[in-house]
Amino acid sequence: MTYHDRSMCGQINAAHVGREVVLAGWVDALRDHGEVLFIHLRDTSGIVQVVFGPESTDRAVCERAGLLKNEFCVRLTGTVVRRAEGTENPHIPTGDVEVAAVALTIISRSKTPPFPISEKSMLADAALQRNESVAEDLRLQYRYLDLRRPSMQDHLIKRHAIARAIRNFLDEQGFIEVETPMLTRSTPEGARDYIVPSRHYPKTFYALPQSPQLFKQLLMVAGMERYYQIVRCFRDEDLRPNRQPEFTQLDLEASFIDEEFIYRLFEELAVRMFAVGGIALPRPFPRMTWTDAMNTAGNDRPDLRFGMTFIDATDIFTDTRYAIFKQILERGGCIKGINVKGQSPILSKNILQNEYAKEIVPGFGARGMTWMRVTDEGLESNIVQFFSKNEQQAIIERFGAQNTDVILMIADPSWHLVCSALGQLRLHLADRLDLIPKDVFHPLWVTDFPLFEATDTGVTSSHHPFTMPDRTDFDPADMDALLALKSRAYDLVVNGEELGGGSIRINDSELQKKIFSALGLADDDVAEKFGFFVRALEYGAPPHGGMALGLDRVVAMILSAPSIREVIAFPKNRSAFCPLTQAPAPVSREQLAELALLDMGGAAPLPGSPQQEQDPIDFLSWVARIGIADTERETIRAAVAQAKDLAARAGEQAATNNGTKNAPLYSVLPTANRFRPGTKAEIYALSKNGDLLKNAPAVKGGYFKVASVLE
Amino acid sequence: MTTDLLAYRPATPLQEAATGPLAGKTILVRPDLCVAGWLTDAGSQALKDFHAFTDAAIVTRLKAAGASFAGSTRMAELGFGVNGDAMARALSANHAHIGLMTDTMGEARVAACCAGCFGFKPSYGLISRSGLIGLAPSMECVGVLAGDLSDIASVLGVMAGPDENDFSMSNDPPPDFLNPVPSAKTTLRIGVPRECRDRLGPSGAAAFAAALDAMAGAGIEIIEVNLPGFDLFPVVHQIVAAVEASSAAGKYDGVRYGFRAESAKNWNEMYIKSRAEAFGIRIKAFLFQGAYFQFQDYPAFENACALRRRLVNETDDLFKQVDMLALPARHEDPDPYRAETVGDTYAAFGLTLAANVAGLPALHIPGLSRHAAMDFGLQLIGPRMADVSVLAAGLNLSTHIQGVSST
Repeated sequence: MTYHDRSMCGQINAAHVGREVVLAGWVDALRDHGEVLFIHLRDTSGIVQVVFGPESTDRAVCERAGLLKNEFCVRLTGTVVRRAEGTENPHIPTGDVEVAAVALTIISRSKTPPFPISEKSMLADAALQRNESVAEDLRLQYRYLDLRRPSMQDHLIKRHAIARAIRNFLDEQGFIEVETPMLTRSTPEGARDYIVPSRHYPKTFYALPQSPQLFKQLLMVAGMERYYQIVRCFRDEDLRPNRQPEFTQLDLEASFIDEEFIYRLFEELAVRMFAVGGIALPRPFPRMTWTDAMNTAGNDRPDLRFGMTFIDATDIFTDTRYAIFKQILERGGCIKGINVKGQSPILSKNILQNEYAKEIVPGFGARGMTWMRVTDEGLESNIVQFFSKNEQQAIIERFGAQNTDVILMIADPSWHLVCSALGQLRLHLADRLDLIPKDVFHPLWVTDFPLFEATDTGVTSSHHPFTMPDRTDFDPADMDALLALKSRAYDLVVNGEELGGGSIRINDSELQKKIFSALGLADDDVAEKFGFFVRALEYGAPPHGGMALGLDRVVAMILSAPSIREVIAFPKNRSAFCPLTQAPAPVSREQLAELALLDMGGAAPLPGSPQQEQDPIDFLSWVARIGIADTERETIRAAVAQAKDLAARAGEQAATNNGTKNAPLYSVLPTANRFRPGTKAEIYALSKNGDLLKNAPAVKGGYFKVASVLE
Repeated sequence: MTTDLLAYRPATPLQEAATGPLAGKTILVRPDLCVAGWLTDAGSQALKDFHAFTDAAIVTRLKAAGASFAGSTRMAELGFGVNGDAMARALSANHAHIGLMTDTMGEARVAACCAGCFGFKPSYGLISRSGLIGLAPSMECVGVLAGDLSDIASVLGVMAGPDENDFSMSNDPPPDFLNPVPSAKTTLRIGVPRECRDRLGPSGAAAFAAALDAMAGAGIEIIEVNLPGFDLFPVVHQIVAAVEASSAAGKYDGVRYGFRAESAKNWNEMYIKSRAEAFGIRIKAFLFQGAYFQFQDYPAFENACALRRRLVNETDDLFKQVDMLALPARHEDPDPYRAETVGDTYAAFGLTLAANVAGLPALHIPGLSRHAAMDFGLQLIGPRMADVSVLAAGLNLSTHIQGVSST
């Protein structure tokens, strides 16, 4: 069998009418009309209808076609014919024509797929089929079938087109792609490393890169000047729904450049990437300092697709009699608010007080929230009587308040907390009130981040320790001076999501050492972890900087995919597990022995070792979800030992009954499914009136409240 | 309102219709049977502050028959044994005429023995358990305690009968408890399993011998029989009930009702911590045994169920030789009211488990099986669904004895 003369299904059109074609692909769908059998044949280019009927097809071929089922892989020959008027299918581009089959080869058969793959209806008047209800783990387990779906293939094809747009553009700009190692040593990106044991150097480990940060800087020292790489990175972080243990980033670094170079380069690059998805990003990309971002939206990745930006009201209350505000201001605090325009009909007193002030806002970390509804008579609130006429008037003017507006304010001694809580509140309201416009893209550069953040014991890098500060004349021992430093870092934010970030780097070994000293790293610690890198900076390192873009996230945004797993061919699930290959999986003792890992366990039991025999009590405690106090342990252990004895006794006695066992008797009366025919399914009355919640230990908003499923 | 005997007492006892067969009769329940609005925590933190939404099916029937509900007595956690159960004391203190008490291992009969009254465990599947918070569904029945056998018959007459909300019930019409058809038999033949007699201590054996003499004196024919599987009833009961309890207690997750531990970081921790604190150590040990059979040795459960069929066949065969069996209700030691461990609890109920395993009706008759100051109790156990005959035999026997003793 040959395929050199094969045509692509999706490309058959009216111009081919009368021609004989060879097609190969998968049976997407079948429709059997007795005499005549229609199939949708699918290959990567699309779908074409093939008809097996007595007029055009031999009886033997028709009989073979009768064996076809969904997802059989076939090769066939046929003649392109125009469809009879009124039978065209508008759902597929080839819907005006069909192929009258002449020959058919079943190349390979398919079991019934675990979920439907076809997305195109064979009937003009039927709705398009969707596949959203299939459990994601099942899709991932049979990913090779999931990827047969045209919408999933389209994701991968578009992803390829985006990567090609990146490579074309960067090639135009004189960047070259260089690969950096996957087996390397731990770099300080802040997350946990995936480690790989070395057989040649027993008890030592490679780390998979969290990013090629140090290698790309070394390439700059090496004089490559313009480097990029589309590279896999690995971070062993806590589970989040939209996070993968390995992800792809566009990593880029250039020498003899400044921030403006990066802004221009990435603006053009982003515009070209989004254009693949038919999205025209508005230019130029605005910029905002980190401080402004916090003061505007309470977030270092502000979503500016909608308003409700913060208004500072601190000065209005300088002389207030309202005790809570007064105390906060005496402690150097601030008061900020937002104006939710025209929403007082929806945001009732009850919702504002009982939902937002009591439940939602405390969940954002704030102690409270002040709310005011604006009416024609002025402000209306549970505490408005504590504010003077002047204060009330000033609020109305400052917030530009009009009838039906709702003003929400948060006050706290901590500026950070005010911004963060109000920012979360802003997003919560925008989501609830549906204020975020669809199909709008709002790119933004956020700049001037703080270089350091305070910790209990000193400072830590906000970004990473190779970021260039805005000034170099600081004293590494002066905490206040360190916390006042800004970094020459920048983030590219679109619609409230950080797509990437980078910075101008330190290229001076003395400055780099000063930063390490500010971070409290001892000299020998630096020498051990970063000695090779600091040494490189001593050999004429050029000024340089760069950026990294999370490719999975960008592609998902461009394609409006609900998660990054939809744009990755073989992703892990939400729990960082691969249902297809069942990774991660245990390894044999022999493998561990070869790697000299068997005696490295310390306190933790190793796979396959005798210590792995977990205390059976703890296993039962886990499967039964019943915890044991230390004082109960011996009693439980004795009970389980007794259960073992009983099991032995039952086994012995059941077997000695004339050598044959009786059939088990589970109950002296049969149990019955008490289906009650004739009764209609309806919502239980106690559920409808909310009584079912009355016995619950924790309730929130008409639901049982539980601990979070993921941390 | 609560007292040391009562977990819940309504401000005024529920006075229902003044007419009906149970008008004027007061009933005590336990907090494992739903009475609308009453605290129904089955003696466990796992159901902390749970108030029943609706009446259990049998409570509805009893109310309609004119009965009053006087309160619910304290009980052992989730009804496992009688350690902590106050039904016997509450009936002795005349809190009500009648007590309803779940009989899973023999609790109702043992409590009746302690209270010195009649205690009846009906055939499995005769009384609806819809609205009962049970522990071991294939073993448990609602038992009835009363000083007067006619009260027991009246209550059963009202309660018995199919209920589509109980998944395991006989669909046959219930027997007529109030107007039983008199037996044509002139002599009642009662079997005494030799294996059981061999297990009695000296005091228990003496007491039982006295009871057998009394029965013989009442014209009953006593026949020694063999029940080779007698020692297996506890094995089967414990394995099956532990598995069923572990499964039934799975619903106590602290979400919809009951106790919730503070500050769990995630879903699993919420379950583990809440259930760690919700269950007392005795029931917890039992649930771990169930989890052991479920998750580590499932064949043991199947073996136990195979043995259960053998035991049911053995008892069925015995009822071809005799009309009923007689057994004491309890041993001297361990005291069921003081059993602290799962093992002690099973040892204390060793003589009552058979009726639960085989689903048989069993009546405890007070006062016939005494030695020194102690009543060891006497059970009459009949074939399945022979509840009326067992009650009639009990009535004849006690009438005769009273007649004898009063002359």
